[in-house]
Amino acid sequence: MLQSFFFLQCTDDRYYRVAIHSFGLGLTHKPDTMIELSSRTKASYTYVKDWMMLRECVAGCLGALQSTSHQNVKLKLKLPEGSPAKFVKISGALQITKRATGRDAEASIGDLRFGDKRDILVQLAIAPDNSSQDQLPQDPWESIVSGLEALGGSLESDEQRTLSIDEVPLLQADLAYSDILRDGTLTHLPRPSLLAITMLPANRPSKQNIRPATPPIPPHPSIVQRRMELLTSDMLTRALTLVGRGQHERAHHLLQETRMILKGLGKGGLPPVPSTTSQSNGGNKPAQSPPRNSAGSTKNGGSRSETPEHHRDHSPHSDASTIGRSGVDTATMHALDGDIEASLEWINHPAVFSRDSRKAVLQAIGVISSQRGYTFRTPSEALWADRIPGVRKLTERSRDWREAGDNALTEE
Amino acid sequence: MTLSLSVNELPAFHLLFRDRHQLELWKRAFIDLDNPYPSNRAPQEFEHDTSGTDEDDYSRHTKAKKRVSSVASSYAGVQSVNTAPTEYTASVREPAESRLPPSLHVPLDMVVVIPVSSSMQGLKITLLRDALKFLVQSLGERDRMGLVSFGSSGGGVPLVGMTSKAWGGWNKIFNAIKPVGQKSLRADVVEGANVAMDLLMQRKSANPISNILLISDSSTSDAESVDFVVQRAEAAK
Repeated sequence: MLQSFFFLQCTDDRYYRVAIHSFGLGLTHKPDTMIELSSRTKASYTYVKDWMMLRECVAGCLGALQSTSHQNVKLKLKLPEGSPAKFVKISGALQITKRATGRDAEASIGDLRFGDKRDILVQLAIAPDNSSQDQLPQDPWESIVSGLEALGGSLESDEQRTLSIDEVPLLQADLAYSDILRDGTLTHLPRPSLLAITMLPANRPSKQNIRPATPPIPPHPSIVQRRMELLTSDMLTRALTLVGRGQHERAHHLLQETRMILKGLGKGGLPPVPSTTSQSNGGNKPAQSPPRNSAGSTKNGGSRSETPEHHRDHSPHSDASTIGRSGVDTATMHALDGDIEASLEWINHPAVFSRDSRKAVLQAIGVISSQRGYTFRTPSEALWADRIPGVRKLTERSRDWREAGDNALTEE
Repeated sequence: MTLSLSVNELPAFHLLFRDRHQLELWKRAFIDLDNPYPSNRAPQEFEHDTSGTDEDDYSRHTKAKKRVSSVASSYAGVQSVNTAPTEYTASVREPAESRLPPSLHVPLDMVVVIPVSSSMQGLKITLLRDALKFLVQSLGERDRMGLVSFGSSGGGVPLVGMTSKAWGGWNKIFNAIKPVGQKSLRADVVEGANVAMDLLMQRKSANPISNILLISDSSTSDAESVDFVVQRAEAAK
């Protein structure tokens, strides 16, 4: 009886996941188990250092939950047939799985809330065109024509080349999620989106005319920004590992260096961000290997599947006033820098660090890497909490509640 | 602000505003519709603002909104686009400052796990009670909350099953929350989480969103039982 019941449950494709959000109260708690429970259920850990902030912290969380738009969201990436690309690295999601074939990958994003925006970085390596030519049987006619072209001089062959440009599918992205309005049924976007590029034919060695080298395309500011975020959360994680091994000085040094690099990136002057100004300086441009390309795939969860395409590439803070020279949002930069600075403060005092700062750092890592915030206590939390109107609303409500709450306290 | 419409398919229509200024702006725009020479400006504003200045949660709702304008225009026919929502004046009500606007969202079930160990003495337990009261107050009409305590001699103890905010017994429960655990007792948050999972598994009906909020000040926890709880959380129906 019980078994058959269970069987029915399993065949039903309705599927709810329970997210376990955790709140570490005060300095005494040990965060590790709570963080494990939360991160493995794609939820968040919040450090409530100040007891007085408990109400506001749970308020932000409830506000986020009441703003849920999509559950259990997965970005499904596929290299379609004919794609010359290979996955090099996928980052920025809660969990990433790659199929053994290497042509499919899945990035778990967790739940999306109204107002949410998540950035997943997909780095692809694209083999030069000649590999695909090798696959084609060599057409004798083609070789005769190309021989004549070589004789005919540069002008005609240029024309010929523009004609032979191929459009190649590179990457296909789909979004799968549990539809909360339809009992959690697994749902996909109406159609996956496809990234296709035009491939110029490889220079044949027989031809001596060299195309003027095109300058490398600078990465999109939102890609740089997400890279900075992930760099920050990675380095904070490493610093914690170092501290755990008792290597506080190394951790300190690592974070100092990270700060410097972030500052450089923010100014747009240092590698690996080739900006127009650094090019005019000549000198040390980063060696961006030509076949390598990075594509940022930005998924917007702000509205249900009908998200207009034109929202995708804009960073949420893309008004000109807040954009630094590199195009990276300065508020984000300050938030990241603030988190590193805060973690540095006590890093050389192991006892204080493990009692307090470590928990704050653990929370910051989660906030930055998952782009989710629930309170306005630190700049990085505020940055992401502010995106969700539901979080703003409940935070405000919890502050208004104060007066009523104080009465309750005095009654005690 | 609530508009009563003369359209059968959509008798009423709620607008939520981020701040009072917006509300005033819209109110004025609607009252302007009343004047005998309606300009074409108003319906454009209607469309424009659909993009997200309001705070509604349902995309369905947004769609409905778009439909209103089209329905309105087809109904109004030769007259004017603006004449369809005739009865608006009767119900342009401002929500009282103190009253909370109804929150429109997909209903959720939430189990809150709280420590009642000896470390929770004094101000801490008062603040915890306050946070719980706030949570219940902030639930939507169809949201439900459950409550589990841990850190007492009984381990994880279910205090309240899935219950809506309308229930009258919440305050009594909250006032009865006391730190009861003995000093020597290890308070294990994972035990609490496990009992919270029990509550969620025992539901006869489930809201679309299921969550557990773990609150803990405990320094001891059984890391080995984490796997078990996570597996249950992932397999929950």
